[in-house]
Amino acid sequence: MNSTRRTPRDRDRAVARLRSLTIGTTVVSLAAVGAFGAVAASSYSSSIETVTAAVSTTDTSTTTTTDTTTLQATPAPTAASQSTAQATTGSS
Amino acid sequence: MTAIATVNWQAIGTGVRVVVHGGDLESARSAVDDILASADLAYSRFRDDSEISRLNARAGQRVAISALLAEAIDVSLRAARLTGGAVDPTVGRAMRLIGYDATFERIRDGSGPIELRFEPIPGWQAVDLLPGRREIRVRAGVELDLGSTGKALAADQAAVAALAASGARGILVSLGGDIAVTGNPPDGGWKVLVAEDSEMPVDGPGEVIAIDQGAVATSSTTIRRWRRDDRTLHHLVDPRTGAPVASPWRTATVVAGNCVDANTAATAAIVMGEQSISWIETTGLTARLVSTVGEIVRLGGWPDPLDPTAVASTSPASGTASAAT
Repeated sequence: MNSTRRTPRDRDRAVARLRSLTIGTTVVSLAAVGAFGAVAASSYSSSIETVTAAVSTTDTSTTTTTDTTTLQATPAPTAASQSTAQATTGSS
Repeated sequence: MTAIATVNWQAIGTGVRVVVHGGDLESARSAVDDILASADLAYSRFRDDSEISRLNARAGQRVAISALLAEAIDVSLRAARLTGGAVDPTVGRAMRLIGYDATFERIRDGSGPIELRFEPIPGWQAVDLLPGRREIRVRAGVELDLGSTGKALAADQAAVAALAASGARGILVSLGGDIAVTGNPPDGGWKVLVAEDSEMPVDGPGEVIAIDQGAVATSSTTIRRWRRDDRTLHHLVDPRTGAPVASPWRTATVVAGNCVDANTAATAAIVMGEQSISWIETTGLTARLVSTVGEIVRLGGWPDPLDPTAVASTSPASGTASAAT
């Protein structure tokens, strides 16, 4: 059998090639996962009925009721003298 | 003394009133208009092109929604949880079945009887607001109506927006009698006439209270009433039956930290009936109930206008009730 003796330089070259192959495989795998995810997300989102098209100015809402466990109390009102009020509360 | 300026107009089917304590009135009005336009487009049940109308048409499906509608639904679900379902957003179908299927002006002037049908409402558990609050699934056959909490939410948001836009020291916003205040009040507080009809002039008869912060809201069975099939109906539905609630209270007014909570408690007080007194006492809120025969019950430190010590008193008296006729 005619064999060639490998030098340390040959070994380093082989290790470098193996490393580049490993990295390449990882990159390709990640790309495949990403592409698969994008396709899945696209398919998924297309199954969701969207009704927000006509609403373009409503994403600036302000949360005013942050306590989810109790209704928020405030100091009791005082009786005002019979001067003209600034507003009327009542049903509408 | 800082100037007080007021403007009134009609929007979203109700009277709007903005009071500015210092600051620019027109800027405040414009900010409130923007909030109301957004609210109307997001959750008016009476517009075919609103988000909620299209959501109701897609019940049973998973639907993407705007941040505003998500917040309004979230607020309504919270109200349902905190009232044991007395205030529930799944009343849409029940409201339609009793004839409240258009703006109130059209209902009041509507012609011809309809066949009345009452059925229990599905309940707020039929609404699945998905994590992230941008998608929702409502059980098939369920229709949402955010009328009870939606207007109050708009009042809260409008007050904040108007304060920022106008540079005012303080702002009062009233949407059909749902009142929210923010910022610094005028000397003596924001004065509010307590009535059953929000269209009562501010110098009309009745108790006047003063608040420095928070909100006041009133629910009543006396105002939005109409006739169908020889029956007199109103807009407060009993979730157990789907019919207009038969309550010992005709009107409830509540002061709370924000308008959503004030409106929630006022509506719940009427729906809960006799149990509402003990329920309100557990909440620590201040309330005034009017019975069907005109008896007035004051809860949680609501001031008695006949009691001179009530004037300028600011300490809430918890768990106390007083009645007068």
